[in-house]
Amino acid sequence: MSARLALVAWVLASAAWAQDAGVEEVEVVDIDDVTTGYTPPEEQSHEALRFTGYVDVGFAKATGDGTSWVDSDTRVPLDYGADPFATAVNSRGEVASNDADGRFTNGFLPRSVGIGGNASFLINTASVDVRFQPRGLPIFVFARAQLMPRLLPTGDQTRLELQQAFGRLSPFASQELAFFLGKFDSVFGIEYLENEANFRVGVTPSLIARYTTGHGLGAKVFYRFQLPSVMSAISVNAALTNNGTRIEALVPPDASVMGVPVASARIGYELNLKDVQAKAGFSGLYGPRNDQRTTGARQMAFGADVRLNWGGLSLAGELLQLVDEQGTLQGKTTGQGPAELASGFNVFGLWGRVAYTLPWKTSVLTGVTLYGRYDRRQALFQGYTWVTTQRFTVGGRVDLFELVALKAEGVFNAEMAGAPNVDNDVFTASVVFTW
Amino acid sequence: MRFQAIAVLVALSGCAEPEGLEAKVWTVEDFLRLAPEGQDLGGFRADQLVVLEGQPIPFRSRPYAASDVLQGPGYGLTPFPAFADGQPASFTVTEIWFAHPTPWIQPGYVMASRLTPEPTPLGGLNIFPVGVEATFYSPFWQLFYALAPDAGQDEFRSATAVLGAHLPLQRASLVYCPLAPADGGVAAPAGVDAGPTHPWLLVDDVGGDGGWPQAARPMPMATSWVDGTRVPYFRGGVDRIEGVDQLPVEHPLYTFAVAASDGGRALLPIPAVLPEEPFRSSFVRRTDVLVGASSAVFVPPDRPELIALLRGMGVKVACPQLDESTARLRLGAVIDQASCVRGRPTVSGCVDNEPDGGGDDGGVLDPIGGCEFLDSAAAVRGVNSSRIIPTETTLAIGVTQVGRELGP
Repeated sequence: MSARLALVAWVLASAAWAQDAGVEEVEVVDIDDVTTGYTPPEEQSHEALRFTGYVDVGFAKATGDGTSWVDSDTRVPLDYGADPFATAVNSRGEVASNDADGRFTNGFLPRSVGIGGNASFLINTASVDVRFQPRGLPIFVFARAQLMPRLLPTGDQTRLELQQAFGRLSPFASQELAFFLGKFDSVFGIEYLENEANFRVGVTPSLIARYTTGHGLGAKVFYRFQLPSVMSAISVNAALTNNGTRIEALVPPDASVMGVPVASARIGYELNLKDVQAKAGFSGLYGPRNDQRTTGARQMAFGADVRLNWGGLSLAGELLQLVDEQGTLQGKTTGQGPAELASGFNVFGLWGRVAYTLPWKTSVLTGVTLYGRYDRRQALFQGYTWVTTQRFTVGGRVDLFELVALKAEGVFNAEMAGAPNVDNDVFTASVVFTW
Repeated sequence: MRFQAIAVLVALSGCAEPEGLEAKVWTVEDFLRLAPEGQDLGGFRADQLVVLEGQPIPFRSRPYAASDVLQGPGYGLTPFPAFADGQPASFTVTEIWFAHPTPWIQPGYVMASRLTPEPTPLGGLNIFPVGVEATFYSPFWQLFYALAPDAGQDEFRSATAVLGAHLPLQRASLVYCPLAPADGGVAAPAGVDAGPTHPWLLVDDVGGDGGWPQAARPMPMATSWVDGTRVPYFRGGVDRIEGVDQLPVEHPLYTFAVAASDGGRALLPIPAVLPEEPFRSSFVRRTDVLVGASSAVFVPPDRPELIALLRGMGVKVACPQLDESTARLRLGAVIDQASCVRGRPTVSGCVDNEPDGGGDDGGVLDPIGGCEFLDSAAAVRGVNSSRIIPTETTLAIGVTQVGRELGP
């Protein structure tokens, strides 16, 4: 696969590569994977200090009031009997609204862009990366800061987030072995590879992304062992972090609340043929839940993922089973403030996506991709009813100059059981300028 | 042996509060499960809270009575003796929370064929959204009439179905309905289904007919739908709490205690004091009141085991001879200043304010007539505030009787 393929093909491939490399897309600069990877221009790779980034400008409109709440629902807490993450409008998984209208919620909420049911332009993310890699040394330093301008009913709630900041040591030039220390991407599953809007094929994350795509603060190790005789490789990506793999809105990573790290890991297999690339992996997570000051309640998760790339066709899917034991103390820490109690929780979810990149391009039009995704999620807070939801997402992406991505999609949510039907579909579009 | 068992029970029930602040919730189902172990639940022993069939009913048996009274068929919620505004009262406990946030008021739904001019229920079961396993379970429900004129009686069986149908809702009553296993009631012996629930009062004391013992069953059981499943519950009554912003208003339940040797407090097995408006105060916080050195507990002289039990806990006991009816009404009441007690006791070890060589108590017409009792919330609030100690334990209680008034 050439490095000059259409951008979306590059996105898919490089994302896949990056995951198996256990690092982010930024690390293509120091390992040249001719089978899958994107190789930056030679002159860039020689620069020790570089700045890159992107701006994601969105336009979204949700049906209803932008939430997944039913007006007459006074059950307590409100966020246990519906899926507040359904009305996602951007790559961050932020929803059109999570305004509970004064009703009690218990910290199971996504972040919101506060547009309710109105159509609105948004700056989803303005992201700046800085990386430093001195030539000839096995050290790599990376930081990513992101600005999210938000106007909520409570006023200006613009956030600046240090999403990643880590140092990496690759001690052996001949081995794909790297140690990370700092704040980095999740190691669980594959969807975290598309956390950033410029790398995500579509606009919105899946219904289970909230559990697997969070950033962790701690230590991580990646090792990949090549089996050239069978055109295969096996990789291991393991981390010890403060928080596990949930997004920061649910479980923030920046401090260990209970003093004991959470272990997470993925073991992957990849088959790299000339025209076909197949990958599969299993992920696991175990440790105390990081929202209570006690180690008495654990979190556990298991996941499996698979990907297949054949020409312009890309198939991907992931499933997840996660269990939280009931917290023993009063109070719960979330990224959006304290909540009252940490309930026992169980979730099973999956998603599957098919994407096809049309086999033609010009110097201007560098890629056209159509995609569809199916999500399903079954979740249960202890003592409540199983909430089963599903979602169909269809959309298209057009890449220009390999620098601009125009994306538009429809998100069609359905409450199958346990949650009242509500009008909560979303049309959302995103233009991502990469620099 | 029985006396020793009670002594152990009391000592354990009053042990120091659990260390740390693990949030706990116990429901009637838990009481029943933990009763055989006699587990401490926020200062109350599980086997005091409920009584199993054939077991002695607490406070109605020894040492409070000459013999044991056994629970009839099914299990019973123990009617605890209490005082409210100076009158004898009784209550049952259905939920205990320890180190727990205030429980929220959940909605409940009553299907109706019309809402105007008056709501007309379809006659089906109440629909509650959560069961006792839920973290935010609460026995307090804000009912709503849900208009479904063409629905079958039990066509709707879950809150999700009601909400998902987007039915018109009309606010109805605020009710106290603890979910609980079937075959329960207020503890009573076999064959007794009416009368006072206070364990020491006779039917005559509340103006009725018949003889002792009889008990009311003011918390009958009914059945609800919880997520499609039939779940029994106690019909605890309407407007038993005040709700503000979906939270029940909390009141103190004054429980008397003494300092224990382990640094904690030991609850005394005597009547508590209910808040003002007890029938509207079903959400209470256990608030310990330390019995002072100059205080005493009134116990009639014909309860020697109870006198010994209290004295063994380091409490002064006043045991002058009173007429039987007055004695029943005052049993277990705390006299704030024991110096008011007149007459020479007939039981050794009781408060004796008479000078040596004085006459016996037979000559005193009203030996406690000049005494002030801590038998109302107002009276308790009058003691030194350092003796009043709110705890981490809150309770849902069903007040079943106040004075001559049986529970609504």
